[in-house]
Amino acid sequence: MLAPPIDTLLAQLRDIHGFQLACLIDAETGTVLGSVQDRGDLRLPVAAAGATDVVGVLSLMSGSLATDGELEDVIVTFSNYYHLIRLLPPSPAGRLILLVSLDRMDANLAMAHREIREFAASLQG
Amino acid sequence: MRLRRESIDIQLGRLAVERRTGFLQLPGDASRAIHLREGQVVYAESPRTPGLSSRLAQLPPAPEPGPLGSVQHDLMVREATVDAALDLLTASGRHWRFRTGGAPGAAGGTSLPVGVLLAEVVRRQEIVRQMAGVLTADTPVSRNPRLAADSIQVSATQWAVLALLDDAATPRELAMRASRSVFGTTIEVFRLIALSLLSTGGSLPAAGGTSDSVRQRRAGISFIRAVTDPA
Repeated sequence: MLAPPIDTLLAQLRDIHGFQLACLIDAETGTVLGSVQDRGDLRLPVAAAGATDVVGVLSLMSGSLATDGELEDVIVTFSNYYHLIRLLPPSPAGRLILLVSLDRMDANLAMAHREIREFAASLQG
Repeated sequence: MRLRRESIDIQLGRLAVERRTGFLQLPGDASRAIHLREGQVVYAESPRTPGLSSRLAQLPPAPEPGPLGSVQHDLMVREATVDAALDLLTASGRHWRFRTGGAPGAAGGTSLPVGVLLAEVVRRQEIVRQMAGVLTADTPVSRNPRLAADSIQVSATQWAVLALLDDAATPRELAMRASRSVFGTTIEVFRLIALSLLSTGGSLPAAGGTSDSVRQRRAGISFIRAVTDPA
């Protein structure tokens, strides 16, 4: 049986209110491994690269602080968008970043945060 | 009359349009190849990047639970392909020949559109260019004996890189030892240099001043600049 493509897995996130785009990114290389997008307003390569840079900067910060904690997620609030960035636990294929962008007018941030956390957990069984 | 040779990216684009199945190879060099199935790239191999079999040996015998566990094989094939393609397309300039034939069985059933592969290679070339003042895949690095901080926290991947480094080694050598991406390992080494855990001869600060390479190391790499402001 063929494994479900990552785009198909990410399509479940379309049920979140205000959904605009979601993508899975290799945290090490910045490569976009799969994506779904409902509207073309956001440039996916730019959003994915920005999320990877944010994770890179925060990893450098946690590395230098050495507080023994792991980065779990980042919520970026713009006047019109939320960008939720969640780091998945390491696997043999590497460390993955889940980015979900939402229209702020339609989204419920607390609900979306919980749904994304549960979705990320479901990806790894 | 002398025929003009097509560059490898133009050859790939033409093969994609013609939906060809086979592989591009340098005459007399079976170790470098880009395999296509119906115009899409299924696998690429270079002796300067770890091969697929050694990468796949890192996977657990049974897939890990959850949907991502079942796609890890595909993700490894994809990274092996892009990693090799970056090497092949960057070093190109020689004449590639197309031959019909199947891809290695381990490559599986996934494929990448040629346009997606070429865009990813261009993005990676831009990141490589950003790092070039400090580090390339073939720059020897060693552990920095002069740590600035009392304690530093590293990721599991970075720890694995540090554990592999005995005396001095290049990111490519470390990637080959660990059967990991050369591009990804070079980035992790760059980050370890930023944390002052590793150093190259050229990244050490000059007495009484700050060298260009140290300034570049502090500025870091930017994935967003690679897609919005390529050179």
